[in-house]
Amino acid sequence: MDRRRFLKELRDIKKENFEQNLKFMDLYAKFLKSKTNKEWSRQQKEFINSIYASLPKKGNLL
Amino acid sequence: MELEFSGKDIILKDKELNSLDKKVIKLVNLIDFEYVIISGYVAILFGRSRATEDVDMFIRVGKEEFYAFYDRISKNNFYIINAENKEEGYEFLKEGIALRIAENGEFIPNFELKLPKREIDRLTMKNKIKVKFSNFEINTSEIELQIAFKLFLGSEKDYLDSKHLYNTFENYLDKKKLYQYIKLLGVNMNVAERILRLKPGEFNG
Repeated sequence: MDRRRFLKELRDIKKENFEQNLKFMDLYAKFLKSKTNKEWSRQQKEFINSIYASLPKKGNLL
Repeated sequence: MELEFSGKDIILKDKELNSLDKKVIKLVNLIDFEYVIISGYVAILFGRSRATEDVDMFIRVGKEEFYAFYDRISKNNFYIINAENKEEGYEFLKEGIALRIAENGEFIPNFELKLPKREIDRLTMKNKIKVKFSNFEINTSEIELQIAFKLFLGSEKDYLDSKHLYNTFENYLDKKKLYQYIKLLGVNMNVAERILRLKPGEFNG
C-alpha cells in the first residue's frame, strides 16, 4: 500500500464530505424557507423526538 | 420559515415544540436571574436538523438566588449531575466549572450552566436577544455573534451551525455587525467567505 496516497485519499474524502454537507445546508435552507413554521417544525419534532426517545433512561447516576 | 422581528427580538410563530424545546422552556421557567442560551440550541431552535447532548447557557446569579433556584429545580424533577448539593454547585460555578443539569432519570440532554468569566461571555450576555415562540420567550445570543462564534470554534458541526444560521437569517442580518464580530474573534476571513458563501462585496458596507 502506498501510505501517502492512502492518507491523501482520506483527506480528500473528508474534504468532499464537508463540501457536500455545505451544499446540503443550502438546499435545506431553501426547503425551510419554502415551508410554514408549522410544516418544518413538525418534521424537526419527529426527528428530534425520535433521537431522545431512543436514549436509555439511566436514573441519577451520581 | 416565517420570521418576524420586533426591535432586536425575533418572533417564531406556530413552531411545533419538540422534546428539547419543551425541556428548555421548562428549565428557563425556573430561572429568575439573568441568563442567555448560546451555541447549538440556537441553531436547532431555528430549524437545524440535529439533536444535541447539551444546551449551553451563561447565567448571572448570586449565592442566595442560586440556592433558591436549586430548590426550585429539585422540586420540578431536575437534578445537578456533577454536584452533590447546592453549596457545592455554587462553589463549582464560582470556580468556573460548568454545572450540568438534567431531568431526573436522564443524562442527555442536559443544561450546561456557566458564569460569564471572559470578555466574549460578557459581550454575549450584554447583547442577548429575546426569541418568542409558541407563547414562550427565551434569551439567546445575538445571531450575528453566534454565527461568528461558531466560525471561531471551527469544528465541522460548528461550521454547519454557522452556515445554517447565516442561511436562515441572510436577509435580516446586520452584515456590518457580523463582519465586525468575525474580525473581533480573529476568524480567518477566507474561511468565513468559504463557509458562508458570501457574495463578492457582501461585507464591504
